[in-house]
Amino acid sequence: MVFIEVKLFASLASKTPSDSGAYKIEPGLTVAGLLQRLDVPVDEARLIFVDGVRCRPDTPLKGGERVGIFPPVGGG
Amino acid sequence: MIREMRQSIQNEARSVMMPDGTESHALTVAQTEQLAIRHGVLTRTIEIAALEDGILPLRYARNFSTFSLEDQIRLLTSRITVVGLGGLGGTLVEILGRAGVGNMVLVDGDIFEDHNLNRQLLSSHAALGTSKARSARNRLRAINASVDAIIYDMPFTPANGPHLVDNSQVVVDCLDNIVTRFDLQAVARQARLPMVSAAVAGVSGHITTIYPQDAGLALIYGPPDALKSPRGAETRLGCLPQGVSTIAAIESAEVIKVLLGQTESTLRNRLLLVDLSGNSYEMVNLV
Repeated sequence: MVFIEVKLFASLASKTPSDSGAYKIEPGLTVAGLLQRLDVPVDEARLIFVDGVRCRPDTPLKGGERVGIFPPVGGG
Repeated sequence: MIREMRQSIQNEARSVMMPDGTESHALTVAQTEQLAIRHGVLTRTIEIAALEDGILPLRYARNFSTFSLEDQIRLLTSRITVVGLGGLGGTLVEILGRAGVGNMVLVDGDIFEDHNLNRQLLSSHAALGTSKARSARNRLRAINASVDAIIYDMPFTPANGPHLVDNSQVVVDCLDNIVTRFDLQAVARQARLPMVSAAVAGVSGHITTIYPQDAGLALIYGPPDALKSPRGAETRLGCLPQGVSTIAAIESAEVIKVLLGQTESTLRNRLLLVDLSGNSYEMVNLV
């Protein structure tokens, strides 16, 4: 098992796990798999970034990363 | 004629002490207005001529020396198109009008409603039921009469878009839904213009700058045809004044950078995410 940091923004903040600073995953878990584990619908997570770089849902995580998930926002 | 005008500007200019202890020749707002009347020109023309001769219109005094005289001239001779005059647009017009962006095309077909009052600087009790575009022009007249505001009291559409952005240097997305943002991006791309784009939900939001050859909004929202809804998290979180004003201020800074040619410092191919709830400011590389 390895650890990642998870940060959920805006309307997704309520889904932040209590251990978000050191969230346990099995190495190789994809970003899409992480969304599933966090119960975040794919449509509410169009913008996902790993260590400050936008990534695709099939990106595998090896541990030590910082993952951010931002929902679509359109207000003005 | 021009020589006479320049001579009168020099005659009127008075020496003032700047906060850093240096001395500068400057014109007051009242002097600028009198010179404009005397020479039958716009106050903006007087301001530009003064700046060209190293004379500072005092109304811009605190823009220096972050702006150079040349920067201020460049802003005064610039033209931008702002689409959406609600929360983002109202604050952005206020900031850029005070900074001295000389020409603004302002587009919004809406009228002010009660639910705008929490965040939209152009709204007021007296303005309820009146045009947002007209309100924006009135506000600019009140804070900086040198700004030429061309208003379109109608919604932006893909059909009228090319006309609205014609002759502008920057398109500014202050819209309130995701689908129309894609339409505006298409118009800006077609016109080969950069677009500064921002969006808000609750006390969070993001800002980016998109050039015509960039992938742009699809990197933030995914492909437009896969959008489930034209709106985002704001339907649940609302739009709070502190969030909207913060995002609008950063969006204004981007417009200024693009106009001044400071392209290396912009958010091109990057997205600045802001979430005031946790004091988060995250820079995301989009490519």
